[in-house]
Amino acid sequence: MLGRFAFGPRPGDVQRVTKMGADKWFEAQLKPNAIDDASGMRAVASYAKSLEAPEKLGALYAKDKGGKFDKLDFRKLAKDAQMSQLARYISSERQLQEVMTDFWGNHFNVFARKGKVKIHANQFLETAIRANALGRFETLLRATAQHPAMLIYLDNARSRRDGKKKRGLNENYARELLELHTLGVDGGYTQKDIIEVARILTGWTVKGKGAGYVFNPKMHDRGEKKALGKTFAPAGEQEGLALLTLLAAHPSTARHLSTKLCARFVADQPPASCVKVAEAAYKKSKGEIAVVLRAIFQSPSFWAPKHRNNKLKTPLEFLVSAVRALGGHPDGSPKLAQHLGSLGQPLLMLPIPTGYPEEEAAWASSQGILQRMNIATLMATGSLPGATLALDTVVPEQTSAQDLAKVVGARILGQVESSKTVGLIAEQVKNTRPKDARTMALALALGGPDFQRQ
Amino acid sequence: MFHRRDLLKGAVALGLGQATSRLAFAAPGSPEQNTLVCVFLRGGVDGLSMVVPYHDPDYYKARPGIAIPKPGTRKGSAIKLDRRFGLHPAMESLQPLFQRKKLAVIHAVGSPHETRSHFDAQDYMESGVLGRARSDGWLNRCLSRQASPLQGVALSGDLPLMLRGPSPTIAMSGMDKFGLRARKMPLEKAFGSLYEQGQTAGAKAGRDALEVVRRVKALSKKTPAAKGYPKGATGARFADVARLIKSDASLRCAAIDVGGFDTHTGQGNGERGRLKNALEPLAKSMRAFDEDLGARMDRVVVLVMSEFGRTAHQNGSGGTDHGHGTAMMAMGGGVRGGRVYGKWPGLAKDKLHQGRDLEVTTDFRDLFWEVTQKHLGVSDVGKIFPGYSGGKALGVMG
Repeated sequence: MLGRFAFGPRPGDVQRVTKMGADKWFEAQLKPNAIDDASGMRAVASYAKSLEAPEKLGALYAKDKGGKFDKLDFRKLAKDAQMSQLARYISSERQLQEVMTDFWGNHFNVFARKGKVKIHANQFLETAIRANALGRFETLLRATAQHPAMLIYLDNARSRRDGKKKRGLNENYARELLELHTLGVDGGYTQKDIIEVARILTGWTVKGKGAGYVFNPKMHDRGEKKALGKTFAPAGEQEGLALLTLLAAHPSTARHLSTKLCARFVADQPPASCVKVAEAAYKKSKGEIAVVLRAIFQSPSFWAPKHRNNKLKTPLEFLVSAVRALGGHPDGSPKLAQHLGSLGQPLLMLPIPTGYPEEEAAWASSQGILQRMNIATLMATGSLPGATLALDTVVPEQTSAQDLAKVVGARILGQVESSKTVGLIAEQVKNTRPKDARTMALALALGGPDFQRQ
Repeated sequence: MFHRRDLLKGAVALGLGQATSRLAFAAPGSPEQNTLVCVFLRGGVDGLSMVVPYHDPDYYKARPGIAIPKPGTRKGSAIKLDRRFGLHPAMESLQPLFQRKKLAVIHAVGSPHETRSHFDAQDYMESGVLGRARSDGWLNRCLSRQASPLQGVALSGDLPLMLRGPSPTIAMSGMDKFGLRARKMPLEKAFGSLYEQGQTAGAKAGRDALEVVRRVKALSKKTPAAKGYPKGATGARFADVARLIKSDASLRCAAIDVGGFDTHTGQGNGERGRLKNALEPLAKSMRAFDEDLGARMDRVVVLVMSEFGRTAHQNGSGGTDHGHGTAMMAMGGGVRGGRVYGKWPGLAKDKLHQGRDLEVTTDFRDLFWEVTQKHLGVSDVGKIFPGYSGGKALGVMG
């Protein structure tokens, strides 16, 4: 459970949660604002500059070429922005909110490198995504639809009503809104629907110089639209709001989102029974994300033994869970973001709107798994650039290879002494120099196949 | 149906110490034995100074400060290829290859897409699909889903988009540095024992990774880097690709990145400048590579590409800005060298693309498809370049 609804346990978490009761832990996680989060706030402090308002970022991250150029040091901003998210994935007590920020951040993918998205992307994750991650889906949807990051990324900001001679309409956002964000590719819409939706959303744009969302009536198509079986009489911005309400309530959306959520929390090929339960919860609660999550949490599918450790961690999940397992926190530098990049999942840097994939096949490359082994080995030495780790607390001195394997097995892998992996680790550690024993044991635990599962 | 691991084991057994006999079994010229090396000049190489259109007076009008002089006795003048074009003098190492008809040049080639963004243009050229973002590359689509990752190797820290996709491939910054950074602990064997049994895709990937590490280690020992390459990253990368080929690692595709071509300032001329500094190690490496491989070069094609060219006119900083059409090169076995291919559009104001850049008269996919079809033996154009259905053959591959 802690591997799915949190980014893995920190030292002592398993005991704490067991004592508290999983139900109680889960319910508390559904109310993140009631959870005291000194740890998360401390971790993100070093990267707070990247969370400033977009119009300030130009000055804060100016490339200083002897005062001549005023260009944005995007590389630096990007790393800080990535870290501002990673820091909380690692250190926040509001773990479920962080997991859902990752989930929805992928679902509503934006690519920071595209034009002005550079200065809007991080605020997008804060105000549109994280703030709504456990709320009503319609609120989340509307927040993304009215955010400069999304409007620029998917070109809606420059979509305008067709002129007499000139084509002005841009369908990009309309298509992804239906295909990826709400109904799903088989959700029952046509190419004509996409065009009509694009017409409805003309005028949903960004104030000059990328300041903020604004509805521009001059760009808006004032005719009547017929989309998804409904007629939209001319009503300016209201048309789009009504559209979003319709989409959020649509049964295809319920199914599409439920399928994705069950894929994340239960199995890459989500069991039909789980999807059904989640769908019903969505419909009954009119799209309350917390209610859907609770339904999944309480479903027999979630707790079924065959759905334990049946998924491969994404690079993000691997890195964050490993740092957490070692009692680690970010050290104020951007290096953890670089490690994540080397594993193939740099945050906010995916050009395609589908977001990073969830399924095992996408991440099971020789390249990727080898890199995990290397990062695991680096972590095991206790000095991973980018994080401070608490190795001595997690794995204190042991006298024998067997004891070492036992402690590592229990604390990192949650396994008993008699497990095959623990036995293998003990055997391998016996072959190594005593001063390397702990490093070896930890490297094998973190880089081995078991830790890659969740 | 082979388990992938068996294929790897089999290849190891054949690879070590039986190089020549294995080549002898293969049918002569069969594409399964061929290797395509894609060299990506990152930043948008100035095709107009890499391959100088010295016959075109508009070239000299547009570049009063940085044009490469016509072939002649002056220092820094272009090296004559034919009556119209010459090479940047930094590339003199390639002149004999052109004369021996092993090197072909293609000019005014590039992407039909408008973009002048490095990232978009590189993505489209690497994915082989214009205008829509994708997560896999055309080179990956030429490879097998079942083979060892050593079929497609990128000599860099990260796998470039060109080689990403469902076919197994791998990136290494160098053969000698590749593998587990084990800090003198017996981790390879140890991880090996942990990854031995699992049946999940993740576990299999771990097994394959360790297998690749073992193979590369063995191949590194068996085939050290040859001398003759210029110092620096480019030389080292070409040397490692040559090692993989010489040690019969079943390398089908390789990718090498060369940087330093985004010459907005200080581009320089034939004698000095950023472009010269970037071109020189490239040319020397290509020459050394050809000499290193010897007869094996018959099975290898090196394709040199860049995401776009640069403005016809120089800018106010002694450089050029992002453009459109550029020049590319193909070298090796099966290449009909000694010619400059492509239709020259001219540099007169009304012939420039959007009034500023060299026009594109050959779609890069025409070139890439001709090479992959003839050299790698792939036949499904829609699979390798979705949305493209083939163009007229240039004749570069005979």
